[in-house]
Amino acid sequence: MKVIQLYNNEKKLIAKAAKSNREAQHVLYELHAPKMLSVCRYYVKDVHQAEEVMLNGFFKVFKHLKSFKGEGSFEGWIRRIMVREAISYLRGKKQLEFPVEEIDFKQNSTDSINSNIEVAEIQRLIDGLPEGYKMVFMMYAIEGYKHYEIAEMLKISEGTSKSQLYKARQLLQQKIKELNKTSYGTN
Amino acid sequence: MAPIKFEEQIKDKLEQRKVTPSVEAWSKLSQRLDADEKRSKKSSFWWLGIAASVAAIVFISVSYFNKNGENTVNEIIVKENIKDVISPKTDAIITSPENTNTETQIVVADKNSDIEVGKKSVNKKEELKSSTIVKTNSTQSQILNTAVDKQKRLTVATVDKQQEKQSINKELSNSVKDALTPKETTEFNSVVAELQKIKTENKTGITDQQIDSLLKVASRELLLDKALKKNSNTVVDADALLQYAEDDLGQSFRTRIYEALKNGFNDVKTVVAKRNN
Repeated sequence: MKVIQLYNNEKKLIAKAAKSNREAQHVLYELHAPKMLSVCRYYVKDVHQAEEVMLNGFFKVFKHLKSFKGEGSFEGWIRRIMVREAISYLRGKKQLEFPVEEIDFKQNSTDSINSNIEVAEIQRLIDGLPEGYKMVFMMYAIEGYKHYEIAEMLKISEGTSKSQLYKARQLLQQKIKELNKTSYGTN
Repeated sequence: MAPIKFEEQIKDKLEQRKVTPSVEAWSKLSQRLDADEKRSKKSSFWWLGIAASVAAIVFISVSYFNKNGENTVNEIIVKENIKDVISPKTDAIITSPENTNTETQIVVADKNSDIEVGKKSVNKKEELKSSTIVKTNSTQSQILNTAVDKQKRLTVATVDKQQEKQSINKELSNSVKDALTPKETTEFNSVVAELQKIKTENKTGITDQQIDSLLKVASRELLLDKALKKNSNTVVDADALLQYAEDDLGQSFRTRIYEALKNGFNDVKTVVAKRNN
């Protein structure tokens, strides 16, 4: 019952916000902003810049709220807008590059992350990835986009998307292994 | 699959994270939304303005084309009347510039500028001329007399109604008689011949209505022709011109203005009612 009520409330809020009701928009913002800022932070290293990206995203959300037909979750809809916003931000900054050079990765057997590793550590690992690797990896592994969708959004080929993901995984695993070592060392 | 396992772990950790935005973030967004709404309202006023000007253009063009349409209808009616009565040759004779010299004098002298009076004067002229022609051509005169008789009957009917105008016409007829030249006589002969031709072609004879319409058309065309000729030695009669213009207008000017206003208002009303759809 509570879930249905919440759902109905969100529906009503969206309907109100679509009619430029500032209070309803504020409630929706308060509900989703922390999560969305976190999403923007995946892609944008600087938290202030990430906040700018998020605000641009919310501006577009409220401006085009009438076009949200209620298909799928509202959070998912906002989230896609945020990811697109982050892509255009990085493209504007010319930070979005997809290196094609071969990196010689050592085969490693790391299959899990030490549970003690903080989320901030993970974020730091991700921040350490080249932009192209990071973008493809996050879109694929976290957002759940398919390769053809990533290729379309980033204006790259599907092959590039796949190779960038592969390289990103290799690099991350290598870094996690190192992190695990230091983590075990401290324990 | 090892990579998927570690990816899932990363995802779980990251998805639990929430980053609180700065305090002023909402007010920044709110200001941006306010500014955007003002801008969109301004642009909607622009559209309203454009819609209003389009409606005004539609109103003007509708009233203008309505006016043109009515004129075209009138012209068509006049042309049909001519075709019923006269052959192209007669038409040419009546409208020929040489003939207008005599006719326009009648028009100018006719201060009342009544078309019927003009028509009568044409009748009178033909009557007077007929006596001259009878002496020279006996066969023509017989036919002419029948035609003139009918014209006379028509003239008398009108003259009875307007005694004052008849007296003016008599004076006019005299002046016409004085003004006659040999050239005009030959032109008149050709008109008579045309009448004869029409009569032989149509055994039932020329009806009063036919003669009436023929003379009316002739007098109207001459009136206009004269009014437009600036280098002629006669003065343009403003009353005659006005009379001609009024005849040409099927509907009164005031009625048409009302109609145009009504149409325009309806158009604007529809546009305003539909602007939110």
